[in-house]
Amino acid sequence: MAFFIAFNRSRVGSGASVVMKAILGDGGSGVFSRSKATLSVGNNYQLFLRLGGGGRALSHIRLTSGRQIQRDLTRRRFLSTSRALEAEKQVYQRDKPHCNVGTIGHVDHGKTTLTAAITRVLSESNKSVKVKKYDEIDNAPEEKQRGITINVAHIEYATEARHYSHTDCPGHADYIKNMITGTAQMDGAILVVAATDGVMPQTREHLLLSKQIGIEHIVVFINKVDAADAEMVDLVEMEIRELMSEMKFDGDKVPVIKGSALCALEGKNPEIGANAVKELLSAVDSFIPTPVRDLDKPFLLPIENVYSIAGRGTVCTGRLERGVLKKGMECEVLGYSKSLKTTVTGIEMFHKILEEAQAGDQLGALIRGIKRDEIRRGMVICKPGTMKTYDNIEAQVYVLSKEEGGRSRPFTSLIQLQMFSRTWDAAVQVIIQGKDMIMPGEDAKLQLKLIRPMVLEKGQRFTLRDGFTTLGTGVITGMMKSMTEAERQLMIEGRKGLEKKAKKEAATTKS
Amino acid sequence: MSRSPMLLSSSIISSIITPQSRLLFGGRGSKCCRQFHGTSRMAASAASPLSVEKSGLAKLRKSTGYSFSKCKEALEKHNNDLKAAEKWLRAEAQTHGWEKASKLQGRATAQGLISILASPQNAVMLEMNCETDFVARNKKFQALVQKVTQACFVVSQEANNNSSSNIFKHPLNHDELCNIPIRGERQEQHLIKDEIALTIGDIGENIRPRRGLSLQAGESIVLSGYTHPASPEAEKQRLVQFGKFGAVVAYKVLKPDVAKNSARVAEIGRQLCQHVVGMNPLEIGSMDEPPPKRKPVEEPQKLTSPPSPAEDQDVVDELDVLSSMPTRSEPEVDDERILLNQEFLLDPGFTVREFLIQNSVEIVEFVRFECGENVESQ
Repeated sequence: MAFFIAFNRSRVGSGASVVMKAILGDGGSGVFSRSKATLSVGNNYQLFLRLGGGGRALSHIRLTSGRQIQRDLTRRRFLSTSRALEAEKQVYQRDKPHCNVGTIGHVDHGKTTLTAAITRVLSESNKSVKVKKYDEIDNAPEEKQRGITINVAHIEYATEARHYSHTDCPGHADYIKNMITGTAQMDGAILVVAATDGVMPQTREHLLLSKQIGIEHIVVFINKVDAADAEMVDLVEMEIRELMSEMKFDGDKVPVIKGSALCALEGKNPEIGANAVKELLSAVDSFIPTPVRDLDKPFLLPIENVYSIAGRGTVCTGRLERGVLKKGMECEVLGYSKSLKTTVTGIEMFHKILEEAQAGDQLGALIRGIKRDEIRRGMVICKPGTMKTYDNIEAQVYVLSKEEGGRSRPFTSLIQLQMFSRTWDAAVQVIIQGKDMIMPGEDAKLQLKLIRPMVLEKGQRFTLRDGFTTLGTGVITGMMKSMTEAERQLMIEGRKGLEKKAKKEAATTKS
Repeated sequence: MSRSPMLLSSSIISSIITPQSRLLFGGRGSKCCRQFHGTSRMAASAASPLSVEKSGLAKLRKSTGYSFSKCKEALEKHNNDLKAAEKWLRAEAQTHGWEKASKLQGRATAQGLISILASPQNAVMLEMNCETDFVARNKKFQALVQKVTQACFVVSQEANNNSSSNIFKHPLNHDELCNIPIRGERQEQHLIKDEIALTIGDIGENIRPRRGLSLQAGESIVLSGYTHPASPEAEKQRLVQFGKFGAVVAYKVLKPDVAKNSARVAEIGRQLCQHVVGMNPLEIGSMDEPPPKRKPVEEPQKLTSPPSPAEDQDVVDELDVLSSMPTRSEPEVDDERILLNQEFLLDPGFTVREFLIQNSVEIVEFVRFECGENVESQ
């Protein structure tokens, strides 16, 4: 989630430079950009803030120079002021839709060269695109996302139509970790195949990975056509379409572009060089769909706190995760086995009345006819019928290694953990699928049984904790049939219950 | 705490979307294919002697799986004679493999598999490395690992003249592994390194056998092997197992009535191996030594929400979490590295010592491999 923050000299005062830290609505903290932004005071600034996945609203700014200035920030004001101000630092212009793509392919087929070539070709017509050299992309740097070490290179560029974040990882495990911890789903991928080699045995594994991390749209780039003849290139194209159809992609409709990334990078032979890269990018622009923006989705407000205000009624606070919320809208309060239908009778942000709240706003919603003790933290307010509660789910989980702060020992099926997601937490029983145990540092598919139904959806991220340590992070990949009362009882009894049941069954079969 | 630098689409500024028809591409793609089929037929009918026939090239690639450039070279050399070209390709595969292998020699291999083949008297465990974990998941690489492990097992079995009541352990280094012969299919001398070179030629990644170990059990000693993630099928049929971790345990069953029950003996072995993989002990310890005083076993967690305020899933900020959690008086970390004193992985209510006494089993030796771990003697 991104925010524009603008502040002017009258508020900050003048003097030494300040280091800024964002304090988030619910007490957590985030830091500007990647680490810290140092600003010299006395100038007008626009700051671009990037926060993780369910990034939260900024409620105030603290200056670490010792003086604390707490301010109410509303988006409306950001917008009106930010437009009026001049920026010194380059400002991210959100004039294009954003899309996340990545490259996959064999190590020697030119993934990195292609990525470098893309930035080079685009920088010729668009000055905002920075040229990345081969060495800057290669040996994907180690990055820490939510405490997990991933080898990943992120490159940014923009075409005429869209703005892109481009991901490149060396291994299967890195892509999986990126999917689990990353803020955004990869919307599509570019599969690179060298014309000289054709499809490699492991190309199958590359396509399997794409399936696993939910990529449905792939554009193929046949590289090194300068080292092959036209017949070979045609045969490679046929082969790749065949393999993609076999792997349940739409092999006939996949755009296949032929060219040489090296020519494009070195500025030679524009026909197979720069022009091929341009053709590839226009294929990416048109074939990979733009993800739906949070603002355009039905509204969802995870409840952080509930207050009872004399003379007004019950107020729920939280950050609007997505959509637009207006006064008078019908809503559903969901969670903890409850479902209450009501109406939002008022919205306030920092003691000011708001006509319309948008995704990202930290707000309080006044709701009609529901008492304070009927609602609690962890429930959600949403558009009626858009969310559901589940107690039996499937998830892809990365288990932290000891170095990353996880456990040193593995765990086996039936372990009981605490699951944290959005504003709720619940006890879960873990069932391991297809393995006996999970070692630290491994990723795995797990079935999670929740002690009570909670508001969940596919793609939701969560953390698993074991009393005092964070055991892993995961993303929900699917819903399973809800548990019956007997199953729930058995789950609460845990391992002992299962043993008892097995004994009972053995006894009845004997007699 | 660092946040991912990836950007989500913001809600602030309206976007400009310029969707182009996707049908355009679909149309283009299928047209390409049609065009291709058309031209290939034409080319087949009007074959010029020097150009490589497409259909021939396609056939050769399909039947051999060698890279397009190699197939083309073969056809050019043999005047488009498919059979001769294929024969040449297969004959040359070894040389090509070696060429590729020497080219890729210096590249780092950090991924790979641990493989085990174990019978009660003999066991071999190997680590085979490759460059990416994509290849470690590939069937061709796994087939190579199987072949190599089997070859080592055959050699180890033949060398087994262990009539003592001890266990023999032979570590195998990279060079020794490379020069073990693979018997069977071929007449001529075929070594593991030749087989590896062939696979390198195919996969195009550096592959390196890193280390190996062969174990020969003496009288009344039983060997058991287990890899994680487990392959239950391979285990049952005494085939090569492979995974990221591996352990071999040598043990004695002291009670004759238990020893007769081979299924139970195998089960105990498997559980011990699993424990070694999971808990990574450094030494066995002594059965005679009194066990250290055990900390009282903590009550198993009850399924109730803790009273601490619930956090948002995004809060992995350790500081925040720590401040909201009650502090713990004793560190939870179990740093016991002596096997006998460790809590048994499959039932933390016991120590391994207690498990062994219950089943009247004695551990003679254990070995654990982890793929990519640091080894001092390398």
